[in-house]
Amino acid sequence: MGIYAAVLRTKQRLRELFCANSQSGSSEDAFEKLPVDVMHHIYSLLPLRDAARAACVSHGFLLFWRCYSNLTFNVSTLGLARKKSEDWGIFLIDIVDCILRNHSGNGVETLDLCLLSCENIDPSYLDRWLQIAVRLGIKELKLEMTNFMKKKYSFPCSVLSDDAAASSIRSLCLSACVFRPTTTLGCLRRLNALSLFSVQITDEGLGHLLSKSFALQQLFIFGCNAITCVKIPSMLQQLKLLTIKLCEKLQVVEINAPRLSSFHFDGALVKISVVDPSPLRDVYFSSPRQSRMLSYARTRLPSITRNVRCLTLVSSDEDVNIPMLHSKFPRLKKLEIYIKRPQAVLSLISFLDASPALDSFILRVDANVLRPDSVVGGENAADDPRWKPECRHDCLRQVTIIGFCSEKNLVQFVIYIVENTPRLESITLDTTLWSGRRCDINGKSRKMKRSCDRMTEGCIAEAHRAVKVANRYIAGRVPSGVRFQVLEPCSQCHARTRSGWY
Amino acid sequence: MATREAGKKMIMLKSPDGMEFEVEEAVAMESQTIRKMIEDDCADTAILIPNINSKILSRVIEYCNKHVPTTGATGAAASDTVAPAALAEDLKIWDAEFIKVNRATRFNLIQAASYLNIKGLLDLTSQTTIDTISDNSLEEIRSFLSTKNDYLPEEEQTIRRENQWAFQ
Repeated sequence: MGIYAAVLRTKQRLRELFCANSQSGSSEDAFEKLPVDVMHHIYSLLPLRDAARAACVSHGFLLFWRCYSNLTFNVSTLGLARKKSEDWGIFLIDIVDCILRNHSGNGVETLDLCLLSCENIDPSYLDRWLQIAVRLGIKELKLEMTNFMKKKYSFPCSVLSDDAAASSIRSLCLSACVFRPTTTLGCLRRLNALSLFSVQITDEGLGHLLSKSFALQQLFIFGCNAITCVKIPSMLQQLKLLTIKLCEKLQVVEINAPRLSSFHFDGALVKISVVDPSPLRDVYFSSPRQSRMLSYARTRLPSITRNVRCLTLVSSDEDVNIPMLHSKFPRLKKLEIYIKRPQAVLSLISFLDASPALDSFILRVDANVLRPDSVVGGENAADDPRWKPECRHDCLRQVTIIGFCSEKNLVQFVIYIVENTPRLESITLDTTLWSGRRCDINGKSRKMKRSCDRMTEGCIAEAHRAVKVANRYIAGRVPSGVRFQVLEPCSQCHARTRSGWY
Repeated sequence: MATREAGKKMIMLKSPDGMEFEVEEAVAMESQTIRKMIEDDCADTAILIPNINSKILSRVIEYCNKHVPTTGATGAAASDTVAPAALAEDLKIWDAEFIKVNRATRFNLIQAASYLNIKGLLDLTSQTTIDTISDNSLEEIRSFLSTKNDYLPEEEQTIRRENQWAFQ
């Protein structure tokens, strides 16, 4: 095999070089006294810029540079941040081309090309770079480009037709290009992570790609607008995570992988079928406006989520009439729902009723506009026709509502939970925005220096009103022994606040 | 050397200069090379460690002693009472002290860690060497690594021109 011979030759050459050096009287504690493999290991740990500079130290180091393994090219690794940003693209292309043209092509484990600062790249450059670096031993290939390149660049499948390169790759991430896998694709027998961002790939192409990737563990498909149907074949025995986001033309998802435990979906609602018994344990659903996603989730999901433990639903347009149905989520432990209209909250009782094993419920409410007439006024909570005192949520212990406001139905909902959840241990009403507290009051994420989303004056006023409402209408109904907590907007990010504890 | 408390299997390691070190099996097995020998039953009496002199071998054993997990057979209660994060922090400080050695010792430790296949020690010693290369001038790197410049002036100019971006 040519490449093995080349690697051996390189090592031989290194031994000669370093031996010559050490015999010509270099001191006992010289770096080159180390075995070649050890020197190479240390060199391969150097960051790109340091490795390039060290290449100028001696011939031996230059040989290491010519087979440097971690080719991660971006504005930061190439040290371009100090230059004017409009020049980044030109410099980046120049430097990458120079490095790769002089690289032996041997020993590359990672080729990570972040070309977001390049508005336009000659496709012949990209082809050349890929042909040089994608060979036996490549573990990770990442190509990140602007959407401008989407129609201009077609990823050369030929580099993955070679079985040597195809069989060593572990992680493949492509963005903004055309990708047309065919039957000539090599066997990607070690590929465990595949991500496609805005890639122009057809159903047939995806089918060819997946049929060669039987070790796949994670599959991420984002904004691939030519795909109408994602079929996950049963031969993907190791696949654990499938994420599909914003694929405009998608109509069908067919899951036959027997161990697929996490399924995350974001987009217009589609027909989904899952192998029986369903391996899904963790499901995330998000969809755009006008999709009545919660009704869809309540009516359609139970058939494919019989074994789901953790369900997240992100809705942006609620239906206030989610039906009470017999179908269940029998094993669901943790349910998290995002809603936009607190008025619709009472219809969520249908989900609680369908989840007999539910332990933890988190509700996030994004209520920017409140109708003044719906603000709670003190009337009886039990005046809603859907009031279902016969429902009891026997396993539910933890309830958190983020974005709690003084909306009447939301207050009713909380009272309903308090009165129909015999094992309730804690209930938290957080009046910050639905994104929740970013700056962790327990200090866990202090290092990350995040702060809460800014709240307008109106939102802060509403938050204070919500605290008063919670104290007046809810606190008195919370059984003793239940930890009841009402949180005001975070005091670090919003002045004039304090936390109420009960 | 007296055998320590019962239940702990001891292993004898011999350096080429004739010194013998008796260590707990668990400590010796921090080295994947020795672990393999033990598992393949090639370690009845004493294991000769070639190329590693007694001074370096004793430092390696010191490192392994510190890094051997304290749970299970060794019976130390430390890991039950001290939080893992605090323990890791403690080890980091210990490592930083441990690696304050001269260059010859460090290179010998790298070689020993590589031969004995002790990942933690190899990472520690390699990183220390890398720190001496990062952000230094070529002359400084050559002097830190005791490496000779074998370029002809024009060769060095060419390669420096090629990698000019890395010096900016």
